[in-house]
Amino acid sequence: MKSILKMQNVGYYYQTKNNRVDILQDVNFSFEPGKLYTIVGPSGSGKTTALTLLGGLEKPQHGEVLYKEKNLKEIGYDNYRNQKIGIVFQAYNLLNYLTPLQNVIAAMEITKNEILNKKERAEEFLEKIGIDKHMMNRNVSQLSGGEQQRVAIARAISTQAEILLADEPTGNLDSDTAKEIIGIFKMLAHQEQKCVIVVTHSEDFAKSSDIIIRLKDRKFIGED
Amino acid sequence: MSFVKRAFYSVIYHKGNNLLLFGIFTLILTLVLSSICVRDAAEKGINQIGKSVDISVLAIKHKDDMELDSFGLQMAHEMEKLPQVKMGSYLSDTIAVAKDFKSYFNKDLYTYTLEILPERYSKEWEDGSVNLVGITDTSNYWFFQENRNKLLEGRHLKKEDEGKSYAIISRVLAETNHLEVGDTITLQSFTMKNKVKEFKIVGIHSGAIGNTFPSYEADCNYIFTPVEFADYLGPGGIKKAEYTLNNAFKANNFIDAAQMIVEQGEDKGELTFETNNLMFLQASSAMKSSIYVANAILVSVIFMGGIVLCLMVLYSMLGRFFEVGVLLSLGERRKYIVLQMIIEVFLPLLPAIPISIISSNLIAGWLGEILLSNGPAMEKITVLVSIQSIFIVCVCGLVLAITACILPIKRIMKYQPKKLLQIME
Repeated sequence: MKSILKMQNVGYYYQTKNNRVDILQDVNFSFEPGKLYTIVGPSGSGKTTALTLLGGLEKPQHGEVLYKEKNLKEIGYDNYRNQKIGIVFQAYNLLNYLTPLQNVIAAMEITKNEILNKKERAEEFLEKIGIDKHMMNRNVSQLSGGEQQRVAIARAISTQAEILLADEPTGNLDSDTAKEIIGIFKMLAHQEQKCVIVVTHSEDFAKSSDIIIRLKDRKFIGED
Repeated sequence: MSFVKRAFYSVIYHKGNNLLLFGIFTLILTLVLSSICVRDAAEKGINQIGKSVDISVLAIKHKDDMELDSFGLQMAHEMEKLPQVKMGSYLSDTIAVAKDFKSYFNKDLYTYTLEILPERYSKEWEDGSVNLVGITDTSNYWFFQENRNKLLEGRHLKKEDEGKSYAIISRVLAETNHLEVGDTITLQSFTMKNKVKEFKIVGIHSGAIGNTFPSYEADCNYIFTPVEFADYLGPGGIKKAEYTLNNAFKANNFIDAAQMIVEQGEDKGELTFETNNLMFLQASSAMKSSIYVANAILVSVIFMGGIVLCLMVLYSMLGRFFEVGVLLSLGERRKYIVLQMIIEVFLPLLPAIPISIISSNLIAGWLGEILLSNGPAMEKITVLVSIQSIFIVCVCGLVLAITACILPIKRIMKYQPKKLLQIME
């Protein structure tokens, strides 16, 4: 299957006072739709950095990230984030002055992807994810961690993005809830044919994925 | 959900912060509006004072450091016609000869002085000489000030008597010559014997005999007539012209215009103009202080208030940069995030404006009562909020709100989403 996202000779470093610290060096990897990828590695190995580069939240210092063979710079980082990807953060990062329903609608209104009947679609996504009508209109701070993470996932998928990126989505959750979330990601990849890329330090999560990418010596090594 | 709706929801959610912002806006705008109202009222007051308090300009011609020279009465009348002038008063003095009556003459002193200083003898010293003062208003002349002399019968000469051959003589001359108010006297020019003029006595003053020399310098020998006759009977011209202006602020305009008239006359460039605006300055000093205080309040409130607002907005935004990072990661455009932020700062400003208008009406009235009550008695100045001042205040609020947003906006425009998300961490 043709790749939807590609990293070509991607390199990233940050500069301290005295020296340069390389995080990623000459990373080459392709991602296909319909698959669940997990990026694993020890803390500080550059997993989140890789995800931010894939999500267009940061620009690589070397190489390029390609969406359908087009450089993100060419597409425009704002456009890319607006239409092509959905991101789930470890800390959920919901807008605390909006209800769960309003959070999802906000994402749908921001994206330029055409979405009709936004309110109904938002309710549908939330229900699918396990958030009932009663919880939809409460303040987000009144929801549990698992419920907030579900809302974050609903927000990420509501924009009809083809790519879903998640940074430690089960990091703050108990094991049962984590299993449910993993199940949702698998469903999104296999049934909705999205390209789902998850950064995690959980080996259980990694084992559930289609492809495990291990960060070693600042490079990606993929395992089926 | 558009950025406008997000702004509304955010303002409601962060109500504590926004109430504080609203309070600060209200305070700043109230003080700004009150200062503007008081300043406007004080300026109105000064204008009123300018129209009601007399300010005069004196025109004179210097002969040397001690003496004044004469200049043309006709030119002086031309200057009086200038639009800035309310009234002109003139003064001239000369020696005249009492034609059909006797003046006071101290013969002993005359003889004695002639013996001592024969080389300084002047015909003016002789019997019959009187001191003729041509003047517009006798009541303001030094002769009648500080109880030196009084008017005993009849009336003073006034502006309305210009051109009329009236005279005021002393009681000494009246008794010596059996004259009273209504009688006539004749005066002759000292230098041109053919110039003779008859005057009707309209007043009698208390000027007394004194041991002055020459005799015509004695108060009892002072005869007052309208200025035209001193000009006619004397060598010609007047010594002083004093112009009362109809507006204190027109003094310079008047002087410029008067100088142009002078340039065209014989006294080209030789007249000097001295402005006497002491009364105006005294009367308007309270108002000027009020303007100074109001301006000081205005500037310091805007400056300090601006700083406080900027710090408040920056502080509140610093805690929300992660939210900006989230919005950017959702694909929102930076310009809409900036607009959302500006709207969130504006929303507390909107109710602050009408409330500051109401409260400043009260405060300005109170401030105005304190600051403007020390002026002269004049038409009561009402300190009220005007449309213009409301407009100024709205612009001020706008500028403050935008200025408060500048630093946060700069950060939003500068950083990548990852950096903004890291600020939260």
